[in-house]
Amino acid sequence: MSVGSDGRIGEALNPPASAGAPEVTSLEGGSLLGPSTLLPASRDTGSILAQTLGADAGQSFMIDVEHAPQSIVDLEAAANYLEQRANVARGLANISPPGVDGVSLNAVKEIGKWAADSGTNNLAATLLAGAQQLRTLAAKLREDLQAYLQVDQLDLPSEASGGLDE
Amino acid sequence: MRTRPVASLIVAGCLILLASCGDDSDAGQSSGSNQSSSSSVVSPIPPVQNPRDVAAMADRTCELLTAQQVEGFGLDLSPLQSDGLFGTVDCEWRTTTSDRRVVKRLFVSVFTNNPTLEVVYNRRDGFASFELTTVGEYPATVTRSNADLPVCSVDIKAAERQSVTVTYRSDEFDNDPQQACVVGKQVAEAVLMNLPPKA
Repeated sequence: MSVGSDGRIGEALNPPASAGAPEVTSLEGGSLLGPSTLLPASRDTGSILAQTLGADAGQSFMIDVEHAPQSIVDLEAAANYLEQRANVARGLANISPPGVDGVSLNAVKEIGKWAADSGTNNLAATLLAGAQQLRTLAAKLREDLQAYLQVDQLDLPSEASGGLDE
Repeated sequence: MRTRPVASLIVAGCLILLASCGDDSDAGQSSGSNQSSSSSVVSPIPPVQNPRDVAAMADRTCELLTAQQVEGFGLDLSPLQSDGLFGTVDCEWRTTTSDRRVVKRLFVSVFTNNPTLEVVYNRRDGFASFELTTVGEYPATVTRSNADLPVCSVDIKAAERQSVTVTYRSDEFDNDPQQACVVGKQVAEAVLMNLPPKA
């Protein structure tokens, strides 16, 4: 069984009893409201969201099975885009000063430092870290959905949503 | 009588301006002299013995790996082109699994008029890891900006002010991120050898 945007969503919406689909419940307290098609996310996914978006974000949430495949593709597309931008940032950091005056030298030094050094606030490292977080979240969503559907491989949409070109 | 204090203020203001200009000027000269003295120091980046023509391939970077090499590194055959810096073209190869995950990624970009390795060397303290080495017989820097991620950049000096940059990421090295540099150097050498000799 698979789920995707190809018309097989219905299977996922009403998984067979043998699939052992979990009931929609709260993970860490609080009530979850929504259609019965929502899949409770794993604690791992919740902890990732909590680390990324703050403690409240990981407390209680559900995954919409119908939209999860597209979300996985979108998260991975966003990760790929951030990684590509990190590559550009690295290139920008390697440009030599246009002159030997103090301003030019200092400007390039500062641009390099902010663009691609290993410090916490530089652009390339931040983009790479962000890409990694998105990839990790996508991987956890994959696991959750695969476990819920009891499939080895998901049938995912071929394209990311508009605005997420890689 | 009323104009004298105003005139004095103007003169005082001008003096302050001149003084501050003098400070800036001194700072600039100081930096400049530092630069000239540092530039007189022998560069740690050795000269290239057999230069290769990066400019000739600057808009054809996707031809810097043969199909056989691409397969050998386990990458998908169809590369992606994008605009690079200063009118060059960047090229990217990926390895995509059957469930559409991108598990390897290789970026190739070039500079045709930039002392890339010298700049990278001057920034060496800012990287999570830095190595000045050779790839083939060519000077190269191997850098990582995040010690936790299997992402490695290899910059190779193929000729004076001409360089190739290979950035490699592979999920298979999540538990041993430094290994990304081992493969990155192998890919970089393959890319380098596909550059034509410089006339």
